[in-house]
Amino acid sequence: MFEPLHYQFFIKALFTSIIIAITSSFISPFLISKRWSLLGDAISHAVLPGIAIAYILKIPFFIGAVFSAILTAIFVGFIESKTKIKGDTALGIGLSGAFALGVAIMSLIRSKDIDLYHILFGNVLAIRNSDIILVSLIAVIVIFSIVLFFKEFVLWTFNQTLFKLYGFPDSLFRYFMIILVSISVVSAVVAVGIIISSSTFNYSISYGYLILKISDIIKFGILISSISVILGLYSSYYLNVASGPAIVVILTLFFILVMIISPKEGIIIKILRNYKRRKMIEWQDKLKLLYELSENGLKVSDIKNVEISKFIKLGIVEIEEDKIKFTEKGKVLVMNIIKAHELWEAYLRSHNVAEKLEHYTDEEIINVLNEIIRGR
Amino acid sequence: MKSLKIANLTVYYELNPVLIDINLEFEEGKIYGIIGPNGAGKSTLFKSILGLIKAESGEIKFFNNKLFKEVREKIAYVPQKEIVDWDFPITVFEVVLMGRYVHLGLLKRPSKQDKEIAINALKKLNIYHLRNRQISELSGGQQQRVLIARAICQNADIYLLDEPFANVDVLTERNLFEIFYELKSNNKTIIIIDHDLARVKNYDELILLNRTIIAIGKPNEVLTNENLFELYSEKLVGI
Repeated sequence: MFEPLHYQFFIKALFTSIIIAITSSFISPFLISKRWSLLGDAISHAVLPGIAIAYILKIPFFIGAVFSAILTAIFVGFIESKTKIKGDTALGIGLSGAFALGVAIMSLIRSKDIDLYHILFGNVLAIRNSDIILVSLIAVIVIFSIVLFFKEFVLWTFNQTLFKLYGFPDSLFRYFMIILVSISVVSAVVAVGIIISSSTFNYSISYGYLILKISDIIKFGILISSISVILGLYSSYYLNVASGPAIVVILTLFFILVMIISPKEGIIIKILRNYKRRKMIEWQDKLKLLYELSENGLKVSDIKNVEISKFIKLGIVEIEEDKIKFTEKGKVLVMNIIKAHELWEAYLRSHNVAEKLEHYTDEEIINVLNEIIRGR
Repeated sequence: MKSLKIANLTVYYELNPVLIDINLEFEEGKIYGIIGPNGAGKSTLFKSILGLIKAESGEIKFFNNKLFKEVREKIAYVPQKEIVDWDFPITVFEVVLMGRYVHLGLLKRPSKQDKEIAINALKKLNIYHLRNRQISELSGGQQQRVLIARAICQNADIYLLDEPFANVDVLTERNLFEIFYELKSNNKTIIIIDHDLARVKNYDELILLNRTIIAIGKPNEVLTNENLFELYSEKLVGI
């Protein structure tokens, strides 16, 4: 397990990837909540022309990448605000336009110094020291900004109208967010390449809807994506698969796992809930049946289908001289169901629907139904 | 005392006039109802008051001749609940607490006192027990209570409510009216966009709006057959 850690390139890759995972975890909950998840995708493709032009002008790739990323983001925002084209289409236009421009310029230069394959798919195992400094610097800027303006970013993402009404600078925060997204995407591109960086963003944000609060999504995102990065790099080392794709495959597996076991919306919990609901309905129906039977003075020995012992144990019925008698507690329980049924039937004039709804009627609903029917 | 004055307000949407020469005055300690058909410009009127839409002409002044941006913390807006993203990962308490943000400005975090005000608003709307729920788990009536709790939490003097009674149950409706009456007794101005004529008796003043003001006054005085015909007939659409 510690063998890869003897190699400096592996430690560098591990460090850089974890930093990127943390950075994108801070940004992505806002992107998905704002329905901007495609923005990360678009921006990652938009860095290509910047990198190509930076090469021609002999300036650092990073500057070109950030520059063209922000320019594309602004262009997309401009299409969205000035035409009737919707956000996702506008992003699509920006994405394909910028990417095509980038590939076109690249094909013009035909240089041996920049490798299109590496830009597209990344090579985190060949990361340079200057890249590490860059990635760390971006992480500090992004995390610092989000933590400092957390309240503002949450309000802006949740309710832009209120943000404006309360006097906060709306356009300023729009560009602030675009710049934060752009620089963090650029830092991801350095490590895992264009194709993979866009998916990194999309995956880590997909956990969002399974959790309660944005701050928890950030924490959870950091945990899951860091683990994915570590597992991805290890499997890359031992199984000899490309590092970027390995990370994303593991992220996807985690997503599927979360989808299944999530305590709130997971598949398992839903199956359990359904089972419990069916049991409850069955139990309530038995209760009603038993009540009817006891009202008709039937004897215990006549009843075959209902297990009375359970109801006796729960203190719902008693047996007197071989006759079933409902206790006070039992009466309250059964009367609530009968009452709900009567109200629904009076309201909707349908016995069959009332038969179903009676199982889901709590006190609040009974009160409301009472109100409505009395008001008629 | 007057809390809001609208003079000669005209608003266009692209080339179509949505509001034409609106003149209205609102007083403290009163509940106003605005009714009118779909597309009558009711929401547009609110957005103009809040400065979210640019008016072609006209003047909107609050209290003693103040502009919106001078008194923004005094004006609470409750939007139609349909336009809020109820899937957003946020709790009921956090949404209500947002009502304090207008007093905080940039960078400042809500204090203990702000949180207490939010808790009181939650209790007032009978949703304190839901405070730690994610907003996606609420019913329609509960969602409406959350939005109104946020407005109460802002502690404003003028309340603009866009269709607060849409899709809420009878109990919520009664609870909300109790709260509006309490605000009224504290000298607040409450302006409510409504669509249901059965409720209008609850308002002190009723404004019939269909791009222009058709009538304004006590509900039983303005709800004449002529006025209602003018309000709901389509004859103004061709302007």
